[in-house]
Order: sequence, then C-alpha cells, then structure tokens
Amino acid sequence: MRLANALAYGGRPHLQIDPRTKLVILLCVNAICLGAGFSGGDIWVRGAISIIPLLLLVIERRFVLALICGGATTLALVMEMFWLGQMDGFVELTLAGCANLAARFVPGMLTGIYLLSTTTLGEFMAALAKVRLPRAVALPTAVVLRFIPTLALEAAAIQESMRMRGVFWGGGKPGAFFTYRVVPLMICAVNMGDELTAAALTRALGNPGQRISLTRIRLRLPDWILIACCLGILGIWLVL
Amino acid sequence: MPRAWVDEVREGLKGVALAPEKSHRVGRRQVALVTRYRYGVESKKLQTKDLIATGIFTAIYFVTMAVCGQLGALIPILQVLGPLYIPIICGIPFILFLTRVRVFGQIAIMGIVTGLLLILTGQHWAGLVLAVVLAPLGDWIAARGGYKSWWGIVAGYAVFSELLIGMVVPLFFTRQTVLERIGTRHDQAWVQQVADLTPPWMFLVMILMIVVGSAIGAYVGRVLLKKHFERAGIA
Repeated sequence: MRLANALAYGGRPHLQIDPRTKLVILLCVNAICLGAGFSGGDIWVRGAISIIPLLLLVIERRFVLALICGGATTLALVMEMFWLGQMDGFVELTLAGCANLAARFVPGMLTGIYLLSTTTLGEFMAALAKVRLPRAVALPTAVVLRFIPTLALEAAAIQESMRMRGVFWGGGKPGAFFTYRVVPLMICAVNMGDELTAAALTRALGNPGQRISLTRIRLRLPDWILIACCLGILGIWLVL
Repeated sequence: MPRAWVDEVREGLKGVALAPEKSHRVGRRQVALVTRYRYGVESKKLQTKDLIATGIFTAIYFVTMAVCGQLGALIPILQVLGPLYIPIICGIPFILFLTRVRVFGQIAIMGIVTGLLLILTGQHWAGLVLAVVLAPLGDWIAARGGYKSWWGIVAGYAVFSELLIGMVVPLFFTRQTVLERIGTRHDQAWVQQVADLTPPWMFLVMILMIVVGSAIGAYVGRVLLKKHFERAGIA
C-alpha cells in the first residue's frame, strides 16, 4: 500500500515547479543513474544528481520518504566506493547486488514519485502542449503518467482483498497468479478507462481547438536553477 | 465519408448557426461533427476517447514491461531470456487493447508513447527511434487484417514488440564501453561470462526470440481474453 500512497497526488505543492522541469530532472536522473559506472568521477556525479530529488522531497515535507531513500542511496554509494573489487562470497555478492540496485533505481524512483505526486493531469496537458507535442501523443502520455498511481492503488487494493480471502501469490501456481491478480487488475483498468473517458469528455477534452489552462505554466527562477544543475551534472558526466 | 452525406449536411447547414454567415463553405471537421450528431455515424478519425483508451492500455503495457524487465536486473540469466518472456506477458494487455482499437494509429501512438517513456526511464534512445519506425509498421500490418485476423495480429504484435530490442542495443553496438563499465565493479571472470553470453550473433537470436515470444504472447492473450475478459463483458 505504501508505494501507491506515495504516488497519489498530495494536494497543492509547496514549491510550484513546471512539469517540463520535472521531466528534465527525471530524464537526467535516470540517464545518469542507469548509465553511469561506479568508478572515479562517476560515483561523485551519481551522488550529486541523487541529491536533487531528495531536496525536492524535503521541500515538499516528505521527510520520512526522503530520509529512508536518502539513507539507502548514501549507504549504497558508500558501499560501492569502498568495496570496489573485493567482492567474493555469497553474502558480499548479495549485498553488492542490493547496493547496485539501490544506487541505480532509488533516485529515479524518487523523482518519479515527486513528479506524479505534485502534478495534475491538467498541468501535464498544458506543459506538453507548450513543448508542441502533438495532441495525439500528448494526451495519451498525460493519461499514462496520471494513470500509473491509480494502477498501483488498484493493485494494492486487489492484493489486500485477496489476502483477506487467503490467496497468497497464487499459491505458487503462475496460472493462479494471473487469475487472481492480473485479471482483476485489467478489468478494473478497463472500467476505470471508461469512467476516465466520460470525465474527460465532460471537461470538454474532446473539444477540437486550443485549450487553455487555469494553472500558469511557465519557467520561474527555481526551474531555471534546477534545469541548470541537472544539465550541468549531465554535461560533466558526458565530458568526464 | 460518402460524398452524398457531405452534400446533405452542407444543405442542412445553410441557415444553421454552425455554418459561417458570409459564405456557406463548411470545414471538414464541421461536416464530420454534424454528421456524427445527426446520423449517429461513428467518425473514423482519432477521437479523444480513443486517445484516452490508448493512454490507459499504454500504462498497463508499460508497467507490465517495466516489472518484467526489473526481474532481469535481479536474476542475470533472465536478462538474456528477456526478449522471450517480456512479449509473452505483455501480450495480455496488448490483445486486450486490440479489442479497443477502433481506428488506424492507436497502436502507433501506443508505441511512440512507450518509446518516450523508455527514454524518460533512462533507456537508450534507440528504443524511441525503433518505436517511431516499428509501431506504425506494426499498426499497418494489424490494420490489414482489420485488427481481427489472427495472423495479422500476430505479425503486427511481433513487429511492434521489436522495439524492445532497443534496450539491448548498447550491449551490442557500444560493446567495449559497456563491458568496461561492468569491469569496474566485477572481476574479469564476470565480464568474460557476460561477453560469452552475448556474442554478436546473439542480437539476431534476440530478434527471433521476440518474434517467438510475441506469437506465444498473442496466443496466451487470446486464451485469457476468451476465458476471463469476454465472460466479464469487457472485451
């Protein structure tokens, strides 16, 4: 249930950041965390870019999440720094694997959580329209980004109710896993899709022509600072 | 839209508020709109509801793909088998999506959005390039069979799934860099193992694995569709 709750929209954010900036941050964080190595300068670049999502979460007062994930990332990076090349034995290898996974995926995950929990569908649409993405691509993209938290929530609810009925992981049978977890989730998703369509059409999303948005989407000073930081770190990594 | 309808609507529009006052020229969009409302004819153009349905199934497809892909990060051998099992599992949302495909272009958009999401989640840009090329092609193939013929679906899905190959492109085309990077955190034996597991011809094998996986995935999807989704009344 935790992940689903973390992803849900958490009301008006404390610091208004343009969705385009958030996308740039997500892109840079993921490119570096998945692409960089663990040697020499790379590990410092990793550390630097990992701070950005933590900072954003602290600004949004998500202290517990920031503390846990920041701790995990720091631990992973420190382990990677000092254990380099001395890995043998099962325990060490498992620990190194965990550290590797944490260092690679946690910062991107945090940025994703930040992006999804502070942005509304309308803001997404307005921002994507501003980067001149054609409507046929922008609308599905916005729907995907908004729909993932809902999907996580539904999956958690299904898991909950299946556990109440004594069904755990399909009892070891992959077929049963599909029947009890995946099939209900898909049916839920399809039904929600129909509801979402009705809601969107009610809000005149089907109207041809340009849409205007109540939220002002523009790049302010914090946006420029964040973009400069991200691109700077990305540039350093590419040059190194 | 048949010519006769257009003329009929044009006639009907004279004096109606929708028509511009000065000249009685009517735009195509207005004709389509009025036709739809007056005659209950479904427009064959992409509408908002199609785009939303596409978005929703893209979300399911992408999450399925990402979850399956993560298994590869945990268990190394699955990384090599990834091209086989990912299309199998993703076949379920894809086949379900086909029941909602109404006009040409929806599968193409699904592919393009998937490509964008791949870039956003840090995958190689080759994924997006492949998606932009292959998804419309897969869409076109599936459209030949009217999204109903079995072989059209299988061929279309196989072509569509080839965009997954974008994720392993760096391992084969910037091989030295990738192996060096692995070398910084593992000993030489491990690097050798990775290099042995992925000889250059493995790339072709992976492409074939995706085709086979897609065929199996489409079959599994159809079985589940018949067994569960049609019974639940959503297919």
